[in-house]
Amino acid sequence: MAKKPKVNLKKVENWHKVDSKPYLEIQSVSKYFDGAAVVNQVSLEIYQGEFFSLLGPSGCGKTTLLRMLAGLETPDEGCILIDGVDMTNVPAYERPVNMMFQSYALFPHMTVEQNVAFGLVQDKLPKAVIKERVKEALAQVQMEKYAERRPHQLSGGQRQRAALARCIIKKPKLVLLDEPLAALDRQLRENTQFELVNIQEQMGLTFLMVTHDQEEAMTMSTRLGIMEEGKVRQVGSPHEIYEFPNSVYVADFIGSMNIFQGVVREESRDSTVIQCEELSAEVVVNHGANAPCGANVWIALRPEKVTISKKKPQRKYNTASGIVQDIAYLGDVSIYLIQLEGTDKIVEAMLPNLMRSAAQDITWEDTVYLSWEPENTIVLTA
Amino acid sequence: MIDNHFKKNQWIKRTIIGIPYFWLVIFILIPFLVILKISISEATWGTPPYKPLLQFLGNHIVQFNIHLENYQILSDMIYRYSFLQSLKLASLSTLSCLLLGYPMAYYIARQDEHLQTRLILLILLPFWTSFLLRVYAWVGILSPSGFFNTLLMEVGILSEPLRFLYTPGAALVGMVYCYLPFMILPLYASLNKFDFSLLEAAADLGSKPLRAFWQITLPLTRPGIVGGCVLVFIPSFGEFVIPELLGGSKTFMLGKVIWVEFFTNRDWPVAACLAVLMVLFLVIPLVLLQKRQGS
Repeated sequence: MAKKPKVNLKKVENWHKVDSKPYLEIQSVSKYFDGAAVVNQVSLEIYQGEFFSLLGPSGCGKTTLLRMLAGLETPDEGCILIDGVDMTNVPAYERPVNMMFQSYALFPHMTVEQNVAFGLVQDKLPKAVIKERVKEALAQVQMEKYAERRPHQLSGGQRQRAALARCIIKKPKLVLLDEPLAALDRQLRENTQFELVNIQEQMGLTFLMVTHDQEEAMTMSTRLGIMEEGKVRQVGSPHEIYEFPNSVYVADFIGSMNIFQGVVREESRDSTVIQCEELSAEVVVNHGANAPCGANVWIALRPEKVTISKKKPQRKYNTASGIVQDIAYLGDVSIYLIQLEGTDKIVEAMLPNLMRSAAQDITWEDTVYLSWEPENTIVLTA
Repeated sequence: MIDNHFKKNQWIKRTIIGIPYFWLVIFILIPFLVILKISISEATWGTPPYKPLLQFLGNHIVQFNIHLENYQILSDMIYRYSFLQSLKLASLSTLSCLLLGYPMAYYIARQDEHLQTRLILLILLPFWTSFLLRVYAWVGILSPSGFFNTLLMEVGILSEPLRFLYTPGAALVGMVYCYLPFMILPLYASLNKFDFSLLEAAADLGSKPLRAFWQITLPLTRPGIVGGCVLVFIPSFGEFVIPELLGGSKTFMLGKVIWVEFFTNRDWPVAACLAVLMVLFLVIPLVLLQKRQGS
């Protein structure tokens, strides 16, 4: 999971410029079903050319939010602005937005070509123009060969491409993707991830994707929003979300994380000392914790930032000892599950397998010492 | 062992398919052939009221009495009139059933599953009483002193009762009433399978609701439309009971003509001719339709 975002580095990061204007504005939007808030006071700003992902477990309201942007649901509260125009009560068929449905929703009685042309036919464009643009769109998704086929004659991946072509052909201001890769098998999914990003960049479109797959969201997005129970918990670049989660929920949801509960003992602007029940030594962090002495906080540690050795470390803080319970060999890395001394707490540590032949010197039932750096320690107050 | 099992399976398959075929041959094909035979026989006085097709004159001489002249009835005004009226009333009742039934089936298919079952049950509820009784009920509803006229006069829309009973219109109302379920059920079956998210996709791509209906819903529910229309048109075309009870003397549909020829005039060959022509008229388009759908 600790894979770093690969494709988003070269993007123009509009959302870092102070003066850039958001392209899509969601202003405290809520939606209730049977009295329960499915989307609860969500506000988001998305900029032109972004690939934004809404990530969350199923039932967190991300799809409902997406459907409100498409105009398939009406918000009960709040408003939605696209390119400065209030779209809250504009019907779906008049919005400059196109959506790719999770089921693809291709029209079964039409060929791929007719499906892709559908949006342009609605706009009553001249036939020659439609033909030209359909050809272009099909070329973009490498589906020219299948123009005459019907959806039921296509494989899952081809169907996905046809749906994508249909939804980008009108060059909408906003492209909505509802779990676009969920129905594909693993191999295909990875290739398609890059293709989607390439198409989005080439056409300069703004994509908003809903997914429950964090790897997908991390790999493809310029920014992502983590949703839980109808609320957006954190918005940031994949790097920010991974390295600087703002809550235990986000920290735990993205990747693996070791979490300890503790109490602040000393706090200053550039250092915090925390005592955790499950750790005998004190935890030192090299920044302030935004919490007074005596406050309850959580310590979060990524497995790859914990080092383990059989030698007792010199320092007296940010360290613990335990017994190796399990080792998972994943090829590039190995994951060690270590039970802390005198507790039931299992800590996950990840070490790269740097040497090809070296016999692992740490094995089951060994007593090992864990240690981690103050700057890699995350303190969470919520 | 496996071979035996396979053979046994084949045998069971053939039996299961064979039973309905046997049924069709015994009760449809053979009676039809009998009718066909009567239609080319010569009418006569007696029992039965037609001459046999083959006559053995002795000395190994067989005489064929094929009387194709019966089919000249086509040129007769009265038969042509009744044929056209049957066509008109059956078409109108099919169209009315479609226009009434489609919104109903659509509405039912959009409800949650539990409610769908109940609504379908309501559609089927009239079948729990006798068909004849239900048609008679319409006599009460439509008669000059019946429910319909009383209500309209009470409200003040009419000053004197409308003489609607015993007109072709009344027969049409009766047929629409009786055959509506046969339209709704196949439509519902089609709409129930229809993926309504396709309409969302159409809207998303800029298609307004009415246009989306034409472009998406209608073509995808065509099997239900065709099925419903066939199920309504065929029995309406040969309908006898409803026009007899509600249609009055101005309603002279084919079913009625066949009845009159058969029982009143005792002209079995002409009645059989009409029956054969009616079957051909209904079967040929169906076969063509099936061929087109098959290709």
